[in-house]
Amino acid sequence: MMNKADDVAFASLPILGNALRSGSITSVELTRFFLDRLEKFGGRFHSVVTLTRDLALEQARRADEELSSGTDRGPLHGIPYGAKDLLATKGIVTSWGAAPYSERVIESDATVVTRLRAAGAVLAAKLAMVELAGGMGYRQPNASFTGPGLNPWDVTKWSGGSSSGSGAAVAAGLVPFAIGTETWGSITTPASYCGVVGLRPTYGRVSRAGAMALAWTHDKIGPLARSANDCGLILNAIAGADPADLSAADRPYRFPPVDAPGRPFRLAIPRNAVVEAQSEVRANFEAAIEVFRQLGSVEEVDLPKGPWTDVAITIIAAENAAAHEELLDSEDIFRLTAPEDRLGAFADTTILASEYLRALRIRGRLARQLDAFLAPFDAVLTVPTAGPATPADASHGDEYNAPSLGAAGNVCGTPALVMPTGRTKEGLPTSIQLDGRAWSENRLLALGLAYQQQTAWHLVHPEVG
Amino acid sequence: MIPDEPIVGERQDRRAFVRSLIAGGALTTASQVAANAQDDPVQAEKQQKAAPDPLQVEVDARLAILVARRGEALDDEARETIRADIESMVKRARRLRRFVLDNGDGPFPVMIPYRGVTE
Repeated sequence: MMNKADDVAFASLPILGNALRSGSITSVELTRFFLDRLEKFGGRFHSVVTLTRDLALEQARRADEELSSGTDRGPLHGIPYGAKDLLATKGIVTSWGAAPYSERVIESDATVVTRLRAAGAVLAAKLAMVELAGGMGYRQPNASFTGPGLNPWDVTKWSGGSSSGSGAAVAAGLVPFAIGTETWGSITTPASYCGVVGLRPTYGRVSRAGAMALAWTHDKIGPLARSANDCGLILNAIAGADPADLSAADRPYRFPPVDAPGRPFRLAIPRNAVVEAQSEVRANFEAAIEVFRQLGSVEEVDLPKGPWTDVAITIIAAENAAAHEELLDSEDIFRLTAPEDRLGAFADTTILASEYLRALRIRGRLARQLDAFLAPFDAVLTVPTAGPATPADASHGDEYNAPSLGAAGNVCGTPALVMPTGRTKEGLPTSIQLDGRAWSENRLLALGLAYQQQTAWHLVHPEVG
Repeated sequence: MIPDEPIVGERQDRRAFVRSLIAGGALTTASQVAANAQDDPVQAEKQQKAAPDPLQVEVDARLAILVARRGEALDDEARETIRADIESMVKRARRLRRFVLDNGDGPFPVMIPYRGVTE
């Protein structure tokens, strides 16, 4: 029985699902509850672009009818969510976080939106994001026409990017879950700064049809939610092949998994992984490692050496410049919010074809190297960000660089799970990142589940009102 | 009929232009330095110091292409900002050229033949 508002606002998907099926709440009531929170608090965190009230209530009414007549679409049925505003939604503005597109309507739904509708989920809001998902090289949080993403734990801090609204809305209990995207750090960073769980799936696990392209060979779509279990349930609904996106792999995915390995976990920590991290991030990471030691073996390893960052930047820069060629050729580029974004991609248009191809060729070598490194382990443990959330009015500077597999994992398309590990003295969340081999999401989620059965950091939430 | 001839010709002209900026300028300077070194070593050293940095020549050439395309939209301050970005990019490309690859190392992801669902 859920009585207090916080019980509903911060409930996990299974708890909300049980409430819907027991009749203690209807989907329409649940949807109105979250729509009201989005309306009341969304502006405080600059987390909402469009409230989809009419559509949401229509979808919620249908969910109530289906559930009451015995049609059950699964664990997301009747549950509201928010979508990063780079996912196309028929008849609703899809802004990509950028002023030139602030009134643009795409007349079709992204595959992810279609799949969530088929799973019975209720689209409550299009969520704010860094303009063009950060591809133009933003260096500070004020890089969106909706303003800088603000952190529910402390509104003077940034909520992270580029899925800034997705992270903040989940953390503040404005939606039970959200969809984000990552080219390099755009799920892991807001998950870390906002203290929620973020899953970056393997490249090709989720169709990108209808999602803005930043870099075709880098972009991934994934959930931000309250627990590893919730992330698995969401991925289960959105994964799979899609004729509209040939990069979406025809590999079966099922959560909960049916084939647990039945052995202790094998884990690795890169040597000196957190030496340069902020002291409380480091202390909470070390405390988390003690929990993981109870779940399996943990050994120290050396991260593989390679030109990860140079390859990642070259590929992303070349693809981003091509993906936004028309914008770069127009005056609209000068309407972007962050001054650095107005000029950030011009240089990328002069990357030579031979340079782009060389980066893609090196990537083949690096992918084999990274897979060989990851193969003996269920996960490699690092921190997603070197410090807690940074000030909302300051440049990222060097603080944005994290001692993790961020470049390697993204350039090779491997999955990662980010979970909260504690709080700083200021009350800001700290997190851990689990990186695994391609297609090993269920191993990472199993580890996340085991960790969250022994800890309660994922249950702690900010006081929103 | 050679419908593509003018476009091919245009491409060749652009390549020739860029190569002349990148390689020609640097090669001419190098050969002059070598010739002068035999006659007057002091003068040759001065010339060598004054020789354009190949990195800057390459950066300028790429900026020239961009300015030819979008110059009217880019003031001097913008061009300086972009020039710095191009310099970082050229340095990055040079680092990647040091990575040893074989002829058979193809781009990743690989090309996948497409066959639709129709009979």
